[in-house]
Amino acid sequence: MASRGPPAGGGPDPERLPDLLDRLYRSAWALCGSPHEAEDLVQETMTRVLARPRLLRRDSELPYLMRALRNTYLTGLRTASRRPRVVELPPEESATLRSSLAEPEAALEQRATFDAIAALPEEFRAALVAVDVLGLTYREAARALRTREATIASRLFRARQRLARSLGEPHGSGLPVSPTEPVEESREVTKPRRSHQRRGWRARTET
Amino acid sequence: MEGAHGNLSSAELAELAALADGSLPRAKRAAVAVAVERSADLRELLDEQRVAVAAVRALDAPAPASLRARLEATPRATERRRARALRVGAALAATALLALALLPGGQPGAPTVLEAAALADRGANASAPRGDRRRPDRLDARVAGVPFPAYGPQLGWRAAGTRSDELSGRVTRTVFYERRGRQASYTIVSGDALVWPPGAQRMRRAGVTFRVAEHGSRTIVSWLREGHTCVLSSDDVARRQLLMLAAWKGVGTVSS
Repeated sequence: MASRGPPAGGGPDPERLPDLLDRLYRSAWALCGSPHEAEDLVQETMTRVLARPRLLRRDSELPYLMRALRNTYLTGLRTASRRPRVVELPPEESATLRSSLAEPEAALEQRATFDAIAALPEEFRAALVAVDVLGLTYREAARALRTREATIASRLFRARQRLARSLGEPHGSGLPVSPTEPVEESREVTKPRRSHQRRGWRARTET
Repeated sequence: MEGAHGNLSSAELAELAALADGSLPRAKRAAVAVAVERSADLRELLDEQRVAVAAVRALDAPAPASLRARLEATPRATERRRARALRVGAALAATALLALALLPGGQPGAPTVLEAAALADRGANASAPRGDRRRPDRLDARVAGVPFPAYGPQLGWRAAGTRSDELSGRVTRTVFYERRGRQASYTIVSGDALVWPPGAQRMRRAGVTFRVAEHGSRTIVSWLREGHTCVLSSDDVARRQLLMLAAWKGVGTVSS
């Protein structure tokens, strides 16, 4: 896959920093489904990152932040499961969407997109957030999520498919799965099939 | 369609996903595109991928001011950690995320974007660079490793000439592009960010922040690529088109 990640080498680029924070915030929102929790998640992630300084190449900072964000999110989930659940009201949350005032319909659409992403199974969601929201390459996403590039591609494909179908539904809601639904690992990364079994374009091209 | 991808290998699914987001290598595109063209199922799968990609890329939720304020409220602890990190030679980019987000564009004493844009007034003093054989979206000309784009094949802007200068000790190069009698100059200045023009409007395109300013009859767009300042300016090209040229990414890696 072509590289879409940050360029390698050099020191931190001040111009990129606000953008990094924006991307991290969107990623957090997509992961947890709540703009308010996303703020907390980003802040906690940054606190953790700063507590353990380490040498980072410029092209590895985003994957590193993605991994830190996801780990913080998962840790928070485990902690939250041990205490009373807080139900979020839907007040001024759309105020964080740039388009909320000028284009309320667009803001609603974006909100629906965030909700639909947050409803994906966790591993699908993480792949989609890493590649499509945060902007990592497939390779970087694989490194950040500690899995194989082929697995990322497969999860990403299915995450997008579910997202598209969810957004296409009348109320943009119902994914027929729970966010915690386990991913069908056995179907994710298939070993190369024998040639007589393949029916995709590669096989057709060869014949 | 639920099981329409059941016959596809994981590699083929990956290629469809990559085709949808534009990251599929050029060499593979044709084969995948032909297969998609021949199959309604594949077209539908690809459409779904594209719908999802478009929806996610349309998300426009900047980090709220309250979050920035919360992060900025912890500078002293950050400073202590950063000092410790520096002592051991660690450069933590994320630390700078907090500290440098407060800095204005450009360092004091740095040359200005207006000075860089004025280099274009001197005109070309060398012939146009040739295209990069391996990357048709790039010219065979660069400053500090940052290549100039080759708009020609896709956008109709051809490189017409170039010049090299020094600006306060910085290496600069300008490529002049032409299209239908209009001209735009693209200057890359090595080193740290230049000082933005006062009152420059901040705009974002394709994930990159641009500063747009009007100076006399000239429209000036400036932004950073790999830490070096790029300045695209013109007297007779509309701001929107200049922004489009500045944000152009070729096959995905030129302007990031």
